[in-house]
Amino acid sequence: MLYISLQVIYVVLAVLIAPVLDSLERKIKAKIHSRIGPPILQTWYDLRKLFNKELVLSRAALPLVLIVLTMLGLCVLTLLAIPAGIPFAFFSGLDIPFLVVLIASIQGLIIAASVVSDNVYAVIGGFREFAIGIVNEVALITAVILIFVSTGLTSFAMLPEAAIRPSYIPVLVLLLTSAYVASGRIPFDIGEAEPELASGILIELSGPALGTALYSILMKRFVCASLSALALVLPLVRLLNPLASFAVFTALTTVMWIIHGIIAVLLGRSRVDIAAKALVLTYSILIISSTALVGVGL
Amino acid sequence: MSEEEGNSGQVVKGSEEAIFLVENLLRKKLSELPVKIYRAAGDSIVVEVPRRYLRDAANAVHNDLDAYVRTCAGCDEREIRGIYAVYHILGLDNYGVNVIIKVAVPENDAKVPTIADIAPGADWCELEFRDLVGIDLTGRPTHRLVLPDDWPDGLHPLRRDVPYGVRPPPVKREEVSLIEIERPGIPVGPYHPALHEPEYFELYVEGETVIDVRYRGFHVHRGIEKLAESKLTYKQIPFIAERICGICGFCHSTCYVMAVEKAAGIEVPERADYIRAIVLEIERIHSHLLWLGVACHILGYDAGFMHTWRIREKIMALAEYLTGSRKTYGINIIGGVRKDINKEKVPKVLEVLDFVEKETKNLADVLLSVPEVKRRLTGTGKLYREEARKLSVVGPVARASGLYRDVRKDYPYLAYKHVSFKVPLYTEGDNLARTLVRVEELFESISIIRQLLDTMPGGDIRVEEYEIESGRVSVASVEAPRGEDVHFLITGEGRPYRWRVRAPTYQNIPALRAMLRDQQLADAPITIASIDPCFSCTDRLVIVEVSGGKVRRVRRINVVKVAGGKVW
Repeated sequence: MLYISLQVIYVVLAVLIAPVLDSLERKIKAKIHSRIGPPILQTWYDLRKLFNKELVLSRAALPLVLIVLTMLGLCVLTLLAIPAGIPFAFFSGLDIPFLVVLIASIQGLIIAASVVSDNVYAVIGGFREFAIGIVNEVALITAVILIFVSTGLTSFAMLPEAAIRPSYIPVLVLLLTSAYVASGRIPFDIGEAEPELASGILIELSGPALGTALYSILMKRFVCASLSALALVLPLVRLLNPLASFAVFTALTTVMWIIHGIIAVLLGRSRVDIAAKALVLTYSILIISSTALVGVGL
Repeated sequence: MSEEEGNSGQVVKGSEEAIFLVENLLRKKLSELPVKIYRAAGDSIVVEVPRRYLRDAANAVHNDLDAYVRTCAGCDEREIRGIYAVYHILGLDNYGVNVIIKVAVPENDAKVPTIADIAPGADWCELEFRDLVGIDLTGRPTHRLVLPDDWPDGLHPLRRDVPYGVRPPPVKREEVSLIEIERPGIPVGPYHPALHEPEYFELYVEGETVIDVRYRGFHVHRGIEKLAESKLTYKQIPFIAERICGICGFCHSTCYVMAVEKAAGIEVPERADYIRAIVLEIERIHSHLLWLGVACHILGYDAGFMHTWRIREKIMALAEYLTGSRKTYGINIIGGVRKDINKEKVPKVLEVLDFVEKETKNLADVLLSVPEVKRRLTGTGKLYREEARKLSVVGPVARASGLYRDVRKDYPYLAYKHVSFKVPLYTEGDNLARTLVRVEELFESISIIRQLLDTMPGGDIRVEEYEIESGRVSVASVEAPRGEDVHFLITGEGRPYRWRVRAPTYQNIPALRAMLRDQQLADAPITIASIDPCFSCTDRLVIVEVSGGKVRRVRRINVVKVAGGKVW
């Protein structure tokens, strides 16, 4: 019962806190920029403003809104499937495969969103998302699977091994990198690169539709931060009591979000060819080394 | 980086000796043509040539004497001499001398042969006088450039008999559709996040590679020349000239007053020359910092954007401290300046310069080491030297493509002859080279201001009494942050008879076509920005279809009417 409550608290927290974390990210970004920055609830204010506007749906916007809503649902499901630092499986039995499928679906939806519009900015933005998405999906899913293999987990209801194996380190790096890329921040936000594509696939949306899309992006970012936090907290789960472990996990999720935000401030936007090449190279090295290490049982 | 001084090492640019030398050269080169060669005001030589020999004369000056097109202007001189006149202003920057090729055009047969094939830099200005003065061109395809599409044919606003402020009823025309290309055209503009002014680019892409570019501009032509020629007085124009541009306005007002002073032979006190030069350099620093910030923003590196603007803020405050305004300083008048920089102000200026120098150095080090920024500047938007020369590009764009071209050195003016500074020169011709030219110029400008403050002479800051004789011709140029501003002036009674303004972006935009072709779409915004375009100064319209590097067809299409428009 405690586990279920903690898991539900975590999801409710996520739904409420994601926009706050976004404001916090903007605030920290502003500090680095030598600006004052917005108040801590600014993103909520922005969303409220968007939801108060009239709903206008262009021809291309309707399928996009459906996709965005599905993504939102998938994100919530994913958050239920990610154990909140506790040995608990919400979808017992098939929890790990289910998580993998959910993550794959979220990435797949982003790709789908890119091809429903006939707006030229959106099409080009979509193909960029597609290029990065395909490369990153492979890495992210491999990383998630390897995490479980190298910690000896077959279900989240189990306690992971306490001792960290050497293979866990490349796996962790792979996961942290691909989770960052999946969060769609600079330098990998090329799909909505503002200067040339005027927000890419988002260009067709306005008002509540845009609000939903932005909110779903925030939820996706929360999922990415949670996955990173999960990978960091797994080796500790056995050592801590459930409440402490939950607290550490939640705190780590926040920290990961902030780290993601800071990395984004320090970098410039990449280009689709450069980004895809760089990612393929990095991921190949990481996937091969980590799979090899996990395979030989290190 | 290397520095070359051109091949006229033996003469001081712009000196009497240089003018004499050029005059002799011209007499020799043009000896076969029935031309009249005489001195105009300042460093200019006029070559009067009959219409049918214009092309020969242009060829001899542009190609044999290695001149480049500064601008051209049409003028309605029917009141005085019963003719129209066309002036092609070519610059010999190895000598610091302007050659004005003047052609008389009879009223009943208002046509001149084109020189755009000989000197491609003249492409736009020819079309402009065709639109505004109604002197037709032979030997080239023509289309409307400046006037909006609903403007009636045969009404040429810069003719003297057309009153100022005439608003003809719009003429309905059949829409000429765009030439069909079976590839997606990516519209960039008239309003677009990557362009902070109303201009229109249409990029044709194959995958992510730009294969063709269309450009449409001149949405916000304001008719400032007509205003000056029909309503304002000599003394009012510096203030309107400063409003040509929201970033480098002081360059325009300085250029105008210099043109008038040259034409009227006004001896400006040396102290005023120093003050103008100091303010011009302050303007360059603020403009380059602004550009650097925008470039960072376009590359998605907003931290760089915010920090350059933080540094720039000190320069804006400094401008206000010295002139009373952050921008649009309004201190230029004919014969000098209105505001002095006295001794008490110097320490504050030096303090700000130290701050800006230190902070800019740190910032430049950081932002040029951000991997994405460096990677995306390097090798993108290439403009090769030969192409740059052919298109008569100016300013940092020229200097990044290996052309040693800086008005401050080539046509020495104001107090620049008293200071030593380097002209940064790169040969790569890519976006990184243009960035580095600007970054280095920032430090050179700081050093120039320090030297000027150090050696500033005492005395008056303006002359009150002067006479401006009418019918005098002069050309003045100022090295603005984006390249050279050129003002061509024919004096009249109480106000200029003809005042032609050419902003640097006017010369640089045509080069964008070469720079954008075969580039990645993602690099298009930074490449467009890399010429530091200032559309407000420039504004006009052209649609060119390009195929295999050659202009295949030029067509006119309906202008999207856009109201307003302000500089960034």
